[in-house]
Amino acid sequence: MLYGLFYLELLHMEFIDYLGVWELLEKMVESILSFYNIKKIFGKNEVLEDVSFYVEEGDILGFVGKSGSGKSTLLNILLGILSPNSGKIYFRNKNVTKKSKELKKEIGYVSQDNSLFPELSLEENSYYFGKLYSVNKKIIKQRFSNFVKLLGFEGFENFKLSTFSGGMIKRANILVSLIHNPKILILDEPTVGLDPILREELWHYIRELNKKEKITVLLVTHLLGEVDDNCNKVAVLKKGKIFSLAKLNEYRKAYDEDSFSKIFKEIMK
Amino acid sequence: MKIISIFVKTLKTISRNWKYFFALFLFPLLLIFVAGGILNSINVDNVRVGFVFDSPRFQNVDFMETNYRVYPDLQICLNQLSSGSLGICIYFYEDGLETKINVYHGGTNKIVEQYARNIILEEVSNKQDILLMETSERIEENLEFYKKLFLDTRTKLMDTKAELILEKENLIERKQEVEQIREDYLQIYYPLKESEVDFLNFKNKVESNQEDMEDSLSIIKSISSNMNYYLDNLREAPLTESQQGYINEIESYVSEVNNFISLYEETYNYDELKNILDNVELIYLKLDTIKNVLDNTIVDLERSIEKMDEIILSIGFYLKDLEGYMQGLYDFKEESEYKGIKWQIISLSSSDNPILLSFPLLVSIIIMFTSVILSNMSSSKQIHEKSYFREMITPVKKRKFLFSNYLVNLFFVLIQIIVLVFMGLFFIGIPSESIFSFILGSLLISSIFIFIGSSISYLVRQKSLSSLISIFVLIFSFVISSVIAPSILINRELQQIMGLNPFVIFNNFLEAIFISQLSFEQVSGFLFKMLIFFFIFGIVLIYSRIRHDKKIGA
Repeated sequence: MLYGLFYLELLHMEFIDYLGVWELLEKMVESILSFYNIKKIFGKNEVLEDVSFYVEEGDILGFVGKSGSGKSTLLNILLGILSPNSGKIYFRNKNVTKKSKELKKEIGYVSQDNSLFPELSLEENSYYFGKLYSVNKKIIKQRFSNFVKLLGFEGFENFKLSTFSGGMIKRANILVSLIHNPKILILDEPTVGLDPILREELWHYIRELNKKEKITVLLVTHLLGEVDDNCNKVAVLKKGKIFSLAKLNEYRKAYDEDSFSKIFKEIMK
Repeated sequence: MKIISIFVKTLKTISRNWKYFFALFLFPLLLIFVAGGILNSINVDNVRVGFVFDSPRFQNVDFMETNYRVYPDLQICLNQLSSGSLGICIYFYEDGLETKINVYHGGTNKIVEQYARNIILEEVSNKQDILLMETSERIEENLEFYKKLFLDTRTKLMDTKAELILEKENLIERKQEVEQIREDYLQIYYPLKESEVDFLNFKNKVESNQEDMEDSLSIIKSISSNMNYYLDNLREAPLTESQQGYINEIESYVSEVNNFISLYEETYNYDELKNILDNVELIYLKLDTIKNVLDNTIVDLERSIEKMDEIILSIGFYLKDLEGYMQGLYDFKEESEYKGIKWQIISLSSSDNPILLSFPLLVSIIIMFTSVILSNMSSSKQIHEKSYFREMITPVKKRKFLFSNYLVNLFFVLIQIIVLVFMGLFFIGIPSESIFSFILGSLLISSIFIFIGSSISYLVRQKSLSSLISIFVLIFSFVISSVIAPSILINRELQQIMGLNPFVIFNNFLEAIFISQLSFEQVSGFLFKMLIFFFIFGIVLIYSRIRHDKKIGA
C-alpha cells in the first residue's frame, strides 16, 4: 500500500533515472523525511518546481545553490512557515503536508543569527522554548543538563545570553534547538561570523550530536568547504529544482574531483 | 556638495518609500484638513439644546432656529445631557407666581462650557427680551380687550337686572290688582253660589211641573178630541133640539177648553224657560271657572315673581364674579408689569473641583497614549528580534502569542489604571461607586488601543515608521475629540464621526461615571460601544499578524 502510494508519487519525479524505482521506493520508506513534487509559487514566480527528495536518518545533508535557487523557500516550508502550493511532505512515512504542527515538533532550527532572547539566561531560554514544545519540566531539566555538558556550558547556565561570545551564542542556539528532542536539526548558515577555530569547535559539537543523539542534520549554506568537511550527502538546487542529490563520494566519483567547491562550479556552469 | 548629495539621497530614499511619503506628507495634510474642518464647523448653532416645558407661559418657545429638541420630562433631557447627546438642557417651570428657567450643562469642561454658556445665555437673553416684550404687549392688548368686554358685560347685566326688578314690581302690582278683583268677585260669587241649590231645586220643579202639565194637556186634548169625535158622530145622529142644544153647549165647552189649552200653551212657553234655566245654570258653572282662573293667575304671578327674584339674585352673583375677574385682570396686569422670569445655570457636576473635571480627559489621554505606544513598541521589538522567527517555528498557534502579548501589555496598563484609581479615590475625589465601571471600561479601552498599537506594528514593519504612524493615530484621536474643538459646538455630522472615536467614547464614559455619577446601567451603552470596538480591532489585529507572518515567510 505504502509502496504503491510512493510509486504513484514517483511517476512524476524526474530523478528516478538515477536509481531504480524499487530501490528508490525502499529508500523513501526507510527515510525520515521525504518531499514529493513540492511546488511553491509567489505571484507569477514559481520558486520551487516539483521538488522531490528524501533524507535518511543520521544523514548530514547539505543544501547548496546560488542565491534565488529556492533554498530559503525550501527551508521555510520545512520549518512550517510556508505551505506548498502542491506536493506532499512525509515524516517517517506519515503525510504531514497539512499538519505543520507535527512536523514542527520534530524539527530543531539553528539560524545564522542569535534567535534567542539576549535578556534571558541560557536556562530561561531553554525552559521557555521547551514549554512552547510542550516538554515536561523534568525532561527539560534533564535534557538541559545533558546538553550543557555536551556543548560545554558548565557554569554558564544562568548567564544572560547578552554576555556570551559569538561562538557560545551559536552553541546556545543549538542547545535550545535540541531541548524538545527533535529528530531533524536544520542549520541555516550556522558558522557565519565565526572564526575558523570557533567554526571547527561548533562542527565538532554538531558531529557529536549526530553520532550520539542520532540526529539528522540538514545544512543550508554557502560555505562549500563546510559541506566538504561535514556532509555525507549533498543536494544541489538550481532554478527552483533539485538538480542532484547524492552522497559526496558519488559526486567525487562522477566528477573525478575531490573538492566539492569545484564540483559545484562545474554543476553551475 | 557632500551635504547636498546626502540630502538628495535621503530625500530620494524617503520619497520612494510610499509609506514614509504617506506618513510624512499625507498624514499631516490629513490632520490639518480634519482639524481645519472641525475648527471651521464651530458654531454656537451646533450646540444641541434640549427643552423641557413645564410652564403655561412657555409651551413651545422657538429659542433656536435649528438643533433643538423638546423633551416631555426633565430627567430624559438630563440623561441625554449626561450621555453627551445634548450640550445644554433648558427647563421652564413654575414656582409659585414665578416662571423659572434652569439651564443645565455637563460641567465637564470648564472652558468649553463657559464658552457655550456665555453664547447660549446671550442668545437666550436676547430672545427672552424680545419674547417678553412681545408677550407683554400681547398681554396688555388682551387685558384691555377683556377689560372692555367685562365692563360692557357688567353694564348689560346691571341694565338687565334693573329691568328685571322693574318687571318684578309690575308683576307684584298686577298680582295685587288680580287679588283685588278676586276679592270683589268673591263677594258676588259666594252669595250666588249659595242660591245655586235653590235654583237647581226650582229648575227641577219647573221641569217636573212642565211634564205634569204637558201630560194633563195631552189628556185634555185627547178628551177634547174624543169629545169632538163623539159630538160629530152625535150631530149626524138625529138629535133633539134640546139634545142638539146640549151638544152645542158641550161643543162650546169643548171649544172653550181647546181655546183655553191653546191660550195656555201660548202663554206658558216651557222651552224658553228651560233655556233660560240652562243658561242660568251655565252662569253658575262659569262663576267657578272665573274663580279658578283668578286663583291660577295669582299663583302664576307669584311664581313669576319668585323666578324673577332668582334671576336677579343670579345676575347679582354674576356681577360679583365679574368684579372678581376684573380685579384679577388688574392684578395680573400689575404682576406682569413687575415680575420677570428668573433663571439660573446649573452644572450636572456635583463638584466644581477643576482637577476632577479634567480627570476624565487626563485618564483617557494616559491610557490611550500608554496602550498604543507600549503595544506598538513591544510588538515592533518582538517582530524585529530573531527570536520571533524561532517562536514562529514552534508548534504553538499564533493566537496564543497574540493573546500572551496582549496580556503583557494589558498588565502594564493595568498597573497605571490601579495607580489612577488610587489617585482618583484618595486625591481627586472620584466616587467610589464608579470604580467597578472605571476598571471595566479602562480594561476595554486599553485592549482596544493595545490592538490598534499592535496592529500598526504588524502592518508597518519598519520600526520608525510604525512609531510615527502610531503617533499620528494618537494625534488624530486627539484632533477628532473635544481636546482642540468643543464637540458640542461642531456640526452634527462631525459630532457623529467623533462619536466613533474610542478615545471620545472613553472620555464621555469617564465623565458620565466621575462627574455626572451615573450608575453602571446608565453607562452600559458606552461599554457596549467599547465592546464592539474591542471585537473589531481584535479582528484587525489577527488579520495584521497573519498578513505579517505570511510576508516573513515569503
